[in-house]
Amino acid sequence: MIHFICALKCEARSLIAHYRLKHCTDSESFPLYISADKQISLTVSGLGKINAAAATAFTHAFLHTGKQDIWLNIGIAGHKELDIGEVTLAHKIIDQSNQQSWYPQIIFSPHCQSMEILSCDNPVTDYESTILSGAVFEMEAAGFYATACRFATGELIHVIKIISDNQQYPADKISESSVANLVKNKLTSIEQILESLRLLAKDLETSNEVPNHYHQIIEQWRFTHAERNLLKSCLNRWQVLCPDENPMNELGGSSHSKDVLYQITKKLDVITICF
Amino acid sequence: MIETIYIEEQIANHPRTLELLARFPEATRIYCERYGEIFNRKAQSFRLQKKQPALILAEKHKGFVLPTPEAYGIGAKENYYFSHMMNCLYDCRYCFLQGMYQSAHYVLFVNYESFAKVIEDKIQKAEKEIHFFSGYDCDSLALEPVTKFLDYFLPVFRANPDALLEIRSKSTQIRTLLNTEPLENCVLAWSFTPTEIAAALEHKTPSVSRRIEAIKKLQERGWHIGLRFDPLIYSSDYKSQYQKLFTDTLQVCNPELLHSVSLGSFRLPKGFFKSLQKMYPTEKLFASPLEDEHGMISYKEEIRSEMLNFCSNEILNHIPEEKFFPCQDVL
Repeated sequence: MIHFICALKCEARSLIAHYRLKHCTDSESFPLYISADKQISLTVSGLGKINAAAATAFTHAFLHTGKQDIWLNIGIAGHKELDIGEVTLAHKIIDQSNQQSWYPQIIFSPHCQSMEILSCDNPVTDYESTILSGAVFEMEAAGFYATACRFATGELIHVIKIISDNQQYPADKISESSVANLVKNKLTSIEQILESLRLLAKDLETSNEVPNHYHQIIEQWRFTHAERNLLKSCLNRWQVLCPDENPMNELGGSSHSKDVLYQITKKLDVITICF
Repeated sequence: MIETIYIEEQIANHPRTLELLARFPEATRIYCERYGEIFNRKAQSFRLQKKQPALILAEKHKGFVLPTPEAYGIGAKENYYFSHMMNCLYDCRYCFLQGMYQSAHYVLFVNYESFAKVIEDKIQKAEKEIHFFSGYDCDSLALEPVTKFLDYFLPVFRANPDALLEIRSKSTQIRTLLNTEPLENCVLAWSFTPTEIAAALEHKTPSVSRRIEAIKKLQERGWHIGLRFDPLIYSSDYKSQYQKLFTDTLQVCNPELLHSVSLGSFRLPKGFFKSLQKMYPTEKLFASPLEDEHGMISYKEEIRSEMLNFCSNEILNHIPEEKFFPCQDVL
């Protein structure tokens, strides 16, 4: 699944339209939108790190997200001199209040530039003095990233910010419609990043797949937690060594889990491995 | 090749850092306090990072030189290993690094001088023959054009002829070695599995034949060579596969320059094995008949003994016994 976290409804609007997301009326804590195939969600967090963290945790709990899900925080940000509309991907996120840092792992070649992002507690209006390091500044990334890392692998969690204000065009000139347009105009860039992330997530699928016949076997015999892990390992071996055979055919006389594991292992251990 | 470089702030101006950065002008540079902020964090995927590893430039503060496990060695009583790098350019499916780390990024410790100081201290205090091994936590040569490891460490050992340095590799990056006067106290050790197994399991490595070519060239230059058949990988055809490998490798070796041959069975600590198996559940190697013995996963005893006996006998058909060092913990 893909999960978008946006601070503002106007940031979310174009994504909701583009991915044809529907408002989920069961979600009372945060406005949540979801695609018909339930593969894309979007949560509107509200402004700030705490809201972003809470919305991320809520999305995880509400949708039972998986380790190989993709998480994106998308929103607007300011910078001293970057052009309005420029897309940036975070390669370092600094929480301004305590200087804690996170490093999103960019395991692909993005079409946009990657930048350091400073998550501030309050809106920044002093472009000259606040951002000495040349970082992009905003208010949610630190809360979002620190929380999402608890639920998914770091390589699939990213922060995309579109520059909405700079020294020449300060934040007080921003309107809801201009924000919505900024996101709308950058949907292609967002989709390019998503495509790279989808490929990475797909690569993880095989390591998380439940092997064939696993559910069938644990329904028929009672397995402890440790035995279930052993069974998965045995069935993975089965898929490698005799993919065209059905392990159930070997288990006719098995009366309990240990029998099942013994029968499968006995069969597998005599199959020759050839490189 | 390297698109992202993380740099610890305290070594940002180290001459080796600056030289490395100059090699990769296009790479994104990201500064950090300590490499642990990026490397081996929870919620990372070795498998994904392996697709595009970053380079992390760091300073090592302790543990520069460590004793090797007791069973490992090529003749000395005092054996140490040191790792100027963590992680490897190659992607060998049996490699313990995949199980040990959650990150596939390359960590390069740029303070070579600190390693050298500890190495020289050990050499001065050594009462017996002393050997140092490089290439446990990385491939010593694979990133040589970037790390310039040899440029720095060969002179250290040239100045300390009583200590022996083993450089273990699968690489064919041998230009520096060919341009350097050979050291009597340095062994260049190449790891091998048979061609079919290397093709299936040793991803991104130079082929067996290219490694043999590298050995030939280095021998012609006068370097001492080691052959490491470790890990031994079981295949139903293993006898003919290993017979061919031993012939192909040992016959090209000049007996005077062949320093040693070692072999060891495939084995992994249980925790590492579980991580690898989870990462690559459909890998044929992990579907082999393996067993857990005292927390180590290895081939079942009968396979292990049969392979070790067969391979030992085959190797001893080619070389004298004093040059043969089977890994003792698996015999």
